[in-house]
Amino acid sequence: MLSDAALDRLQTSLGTPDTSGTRYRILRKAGEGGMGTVWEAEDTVLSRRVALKVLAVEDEGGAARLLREARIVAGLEHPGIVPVHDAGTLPDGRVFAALKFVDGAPLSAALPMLGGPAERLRVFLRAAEAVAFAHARGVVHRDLKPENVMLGAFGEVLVVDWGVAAVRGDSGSRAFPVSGSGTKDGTVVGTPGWMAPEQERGEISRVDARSDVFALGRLLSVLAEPRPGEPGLDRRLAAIVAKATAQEPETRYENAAALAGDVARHLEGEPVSAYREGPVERLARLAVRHRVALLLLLAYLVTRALVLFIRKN
Amino acid sequence: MALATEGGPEERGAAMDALARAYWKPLYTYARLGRRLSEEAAEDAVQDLFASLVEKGWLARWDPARARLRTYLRVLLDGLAANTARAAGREKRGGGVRTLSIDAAETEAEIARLAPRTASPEEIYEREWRRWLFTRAVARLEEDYTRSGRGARFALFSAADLADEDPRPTYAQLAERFSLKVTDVTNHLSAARRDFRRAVLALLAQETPRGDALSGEARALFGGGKS
Amino acid sequence: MSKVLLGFLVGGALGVLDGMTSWFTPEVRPEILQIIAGSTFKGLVAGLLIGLFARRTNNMALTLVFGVIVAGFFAYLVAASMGKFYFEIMLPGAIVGLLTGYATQRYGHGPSPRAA
Repeated sequence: MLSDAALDRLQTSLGTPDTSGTRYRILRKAGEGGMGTVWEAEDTVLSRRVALKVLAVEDEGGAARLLREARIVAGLEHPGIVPVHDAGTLPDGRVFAALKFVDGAPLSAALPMLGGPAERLRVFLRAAEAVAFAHARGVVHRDLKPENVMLGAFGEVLVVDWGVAAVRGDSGSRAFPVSGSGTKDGTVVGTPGWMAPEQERGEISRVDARSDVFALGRLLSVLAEPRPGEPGLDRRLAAIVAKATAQEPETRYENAAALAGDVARHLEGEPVSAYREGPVERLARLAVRHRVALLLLLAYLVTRALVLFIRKN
Repeated sequence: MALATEGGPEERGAAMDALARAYWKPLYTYARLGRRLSEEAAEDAVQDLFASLVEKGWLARWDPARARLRTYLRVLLDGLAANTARAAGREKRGGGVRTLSIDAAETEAEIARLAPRTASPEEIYEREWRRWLFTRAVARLEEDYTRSGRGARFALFSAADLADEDPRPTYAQLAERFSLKVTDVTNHLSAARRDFRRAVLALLAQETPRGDALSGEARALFGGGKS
Repeated sequence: MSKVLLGFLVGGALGVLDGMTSWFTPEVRPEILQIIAGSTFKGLVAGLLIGLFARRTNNMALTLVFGVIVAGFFAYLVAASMGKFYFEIMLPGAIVGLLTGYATQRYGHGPSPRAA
């Protein structure tokens, strides 16, 4: 019979990937993912930190999925998508992928630290732009949620965990190294509460960029939700959220780029496609958008009037 | 391995044996330490459980998507333990069907050696299940190494990972003790740990009645994945 | 619209407006057309200078300072030619410079791609 101490030691060595003879040295556990564990490790050749995503067990299905994810991410070079450096098999037979180590926290944890509404919308835009890039390459993330958006220590916004992403076969000019969704109809892929209705029903063949738009819409509503002391949710923004999270994919934005465009226009005080404004609202929006210029013009007119008034008296 | 309720009687018997081998001891320890049953009641409950798995078709009703096998067995045992306690109040059990060879005496001695527990009954069970799995994996590793003339490697593994030496021997001390170079100690140990890992996985594969549930069981053990 | 053209147009438009306000001063009302022409010319030149500056620096704060100085200087020249009304002419003039500077930097596009 093993002693308690021996039991703990064996458990630790079972849980820790065997990187002997490789360029990686395990530093500490960084988190648990859907398929395995993410370790903070050192790449001893390049002397840099990496995030080593290692499968818990060496089953073929998981290995194929991890390699598939690595290949998808490798095909998505974008500042908002964590780059993959390497992938392969460890001496203990487990498959790994080495990704850029992001020193930061997932949005789910970092949300309270974010500043005012405009800053939060800009964080959303960065994430949506990364997803828009993937959509342009024919890749659908399928599991967007605050846990899968990382905020770096230097303000980077990175979309992570492309483990269940789907790739359209006809992804334009650049052929993707992998294609297909890796799943059949009837399989539910995603996270309850974040996934689109068609995704929740397991209608895999109907899941496309608009399903990501739904999840992004949920994300937007979380980020845009007014905090105590902040003005209520702007009607245009509410309309954008409503359009993004519509039940029917046909009524949503076509892809993340269209959604990001509307949010960017809202931030700039320009009209948004999701909201038809009345003439008074339009005037009010224009006044807010050009408030500095209007104030300066007003200051000029007041000064002129004052000067005249003073001279007359 | 095949589902313990499928195949011919011989296959079923072998499958049930494997299942019983893997689970009786942690279940018994759980009944004693976690549920605080008497030795007799604990043994009765465990015997009843394994008999009912086949007779009452309980094993066939296990759904890997809903619970891990070991959790399912523990919950079943909880139910049986309650019934046994009630039955014991009415009549002295006339010794039900004894299908398992349970070495309760030896297990009692082991239980006595364990430090007093402050953990929850579930934690005790989980830990004892793991202890029994690892113990058998270590035994298998030792057997395998001894047979293939690698007894020295097992001795090294044992000194490094199994023995309770305080403070832990460093790789340099182990190298001196076994007249090896430090790099050899590193290589031998990582090979032994790799083989230990394989032995654990092989046992799990044998003892998980459905292949598709294996990765879930293993994942829970090796970290990662949802429980 | 480029910053230079925008500065030119905004400066000119504000010049026209500034000139027209002299209608409220009855003593100068007979010469209002000359005043508007002069004020417009002054605005066009100041706006052009501010626009050129805005294109060069791409910096809002500096452009605002420059706008105030340039427009204030032109207003000073006008006041100096009249020998009076320094305050009444230079203060609104400086605000016009501020407005022109802001407009060119905020709404004008630089030679590089859109930087709004």
